[in-house]
Amino acid sequence: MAKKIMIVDDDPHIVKYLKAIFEDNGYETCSASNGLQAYDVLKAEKPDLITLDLEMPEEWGPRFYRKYSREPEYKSIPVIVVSGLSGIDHAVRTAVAVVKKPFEPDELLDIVKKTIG
Amino acid sequence: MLLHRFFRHNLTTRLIIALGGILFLSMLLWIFVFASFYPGFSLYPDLIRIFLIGICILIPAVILSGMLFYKWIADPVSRLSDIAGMLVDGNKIDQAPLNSKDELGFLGEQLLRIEETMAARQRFLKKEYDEYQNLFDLVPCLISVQDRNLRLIRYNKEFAEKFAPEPGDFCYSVYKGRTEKCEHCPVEKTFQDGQSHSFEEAGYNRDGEPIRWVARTAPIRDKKGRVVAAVEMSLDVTLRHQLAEKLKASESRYQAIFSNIPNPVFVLDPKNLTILDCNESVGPVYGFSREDLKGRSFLEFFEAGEREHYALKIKDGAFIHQARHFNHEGRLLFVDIRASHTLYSDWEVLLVTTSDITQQLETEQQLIQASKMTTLGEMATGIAHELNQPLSVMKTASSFMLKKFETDQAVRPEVMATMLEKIDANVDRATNIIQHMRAFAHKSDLDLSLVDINDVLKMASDIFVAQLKLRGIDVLWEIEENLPRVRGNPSRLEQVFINLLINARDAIEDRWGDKSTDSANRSITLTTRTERGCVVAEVCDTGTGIPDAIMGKIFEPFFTTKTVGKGTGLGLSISYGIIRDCGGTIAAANRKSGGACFRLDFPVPADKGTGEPGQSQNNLASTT
Repeated sequence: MAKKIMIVDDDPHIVKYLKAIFEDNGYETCSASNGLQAYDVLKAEKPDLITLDLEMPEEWGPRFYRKYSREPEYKSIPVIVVSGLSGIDHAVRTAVAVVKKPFEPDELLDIVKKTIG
Repeated sequence: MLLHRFFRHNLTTRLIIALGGILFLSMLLWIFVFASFYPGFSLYPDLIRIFLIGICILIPAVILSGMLFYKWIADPVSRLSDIAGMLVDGNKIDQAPLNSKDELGFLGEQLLRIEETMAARQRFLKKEYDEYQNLFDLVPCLISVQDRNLRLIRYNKEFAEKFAPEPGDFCYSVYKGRTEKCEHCPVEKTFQDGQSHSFEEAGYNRDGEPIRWVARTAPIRDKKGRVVAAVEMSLDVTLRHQLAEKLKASESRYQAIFSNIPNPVFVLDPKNLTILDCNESVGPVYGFSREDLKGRSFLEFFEAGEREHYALKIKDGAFIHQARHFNHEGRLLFVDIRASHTLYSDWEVLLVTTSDITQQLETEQQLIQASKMTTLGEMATGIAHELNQPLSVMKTASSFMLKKFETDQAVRPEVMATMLEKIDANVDRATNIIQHMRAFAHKSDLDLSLVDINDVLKMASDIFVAQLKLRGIDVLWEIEENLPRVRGNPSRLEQVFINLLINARDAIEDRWGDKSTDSANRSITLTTRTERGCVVAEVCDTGTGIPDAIMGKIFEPFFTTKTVGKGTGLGLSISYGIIRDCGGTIAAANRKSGGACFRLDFPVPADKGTGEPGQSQNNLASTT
């Protein structure tokens, strides 16, 4: 079964772009544009990996992370931070990787493949 | 293990547990202290008892200080910690976390201030971001950001509206509906060399319409300086290109018109009259090729002595009639020149056209000659009469002499002398008449010289007056003596006046018949005078006058009211041409008392001594 990636980003361009990349490489995707929405999507979709933007309206990335990472059911889901903010490498402590925008799509795909195959 | 558990609790819980423990211990101790006072229960020596009492006093003190510690330190620190957590979560803090004015209270205020500062900075960043996003969206050209695989990462509004793409679509499929990348891709080049590239390309949009655009790419680098994306900015120049094409087509149309206008057209530098360009018609007329003429002076077509005179006229944009040009072989051409100042590819230039009127002048010349012959025919009666006079005198003299010889009568020498003188004088008179005739019939040239209009008028009437007398028509003279001389050709002007006299005679005879008893009804008045810098000559008759309906046509060629065979219809039109060539005007009007009046105006030249440059020596006849 195809692995599912949840894309959390408030920029619809980036969401669509990442969707295109992931889907072309055989992954399923779901997305959310802020932390609040992401929590609902997380519960509904149960993704295998999360790409998380930090700076978002409503509820920003770290808060969403703190919320779901307390729950045993979700806390083991690997997360890749994809953000343009600098100096936030420790905002998500258990992040598999921090990818800075702009990024090389192949690099991101490599990390995803290494993490969930 | 217990200790480990204890430290897993937060600070407040730990404090309560610790205080509880201490309270429990102190209770135990107090039991021991009270027990020691019990008689017979003296377990300890006094020293220990004192120690125990001391501890019992100390324990409440510790409990008290513990409670104070909780109130003033542990609780505020715990609240500050919560606030810090809220800060991390990005929540808003509504009020100061602590009311106290100590260091912790100050710390709480500082946290609040940090939150405010962060929020303000965030608002500022958001505003900046929105502004740039807006700018990016509203730039009136197509902007897209692409990754190494030519997928669109983002694009602006114009791009979205034009192509309706989705992020992640491939550039080539969006732009051209292709399934694979283009052969020469500037974005790919930018990824390869990290440089900007520009290009112009034509193609078809998704609807199959031809489009054209110019584009420029630029690299986007990450922190390490690697090119991770490229921005491509393109401008749709389809419309501009179409306009340019139209302009080009229009230009080539006008170029074709310019090149193929049958008359030579020159584009001159208005300062020095250098030929900047000319059309193809220059070749057949002047015998020079277009390339030969570029860069040469237009004045080279004129004779050296005339160049300065014409340069001024051309620069003024004046119309020049009948100027003399020389072609490549040195042959003389008569040309009309029109010049006008105009803009040519944003330069101010002089546009000059020349019309070769050599042929036209030759034709006119032939027409004038034909008309002259007609006039001559008209004059025959008058001439016959004129010649009859001297001939009859000579006949009388010679008959007288002959008779004397036949009868052998002597002729007295003085009578002989008188007779011979008469004969001689009348031979001279006849010779004069014939010379006048020959002079008139002679093909005249184009020379303009200074003439006295009175002289010309007298010459014309001299030859004609006898004929008019025969027909009972009086010639009345109202002449102003010592007229200023005007520019003209005497022979041609004489023809004009003869034409007018013939017309006057015919009009009078049309009105009054061949003969009339009242001579006042049959007269031609010849008037000359000066008026506002012009010499005016009038030929007025007492004839039928000119009907209003044909007044506008009388100077047109071949227009005649005379019966077939009597007039060619060329007289007035040729007269018109001759007067125009002299720079004068001719006009007709009806007299109130009946009859027509032709008025000729000749401008008195400012430089009375000389004529038009060059026109006094050369003539058309010599060129044909």
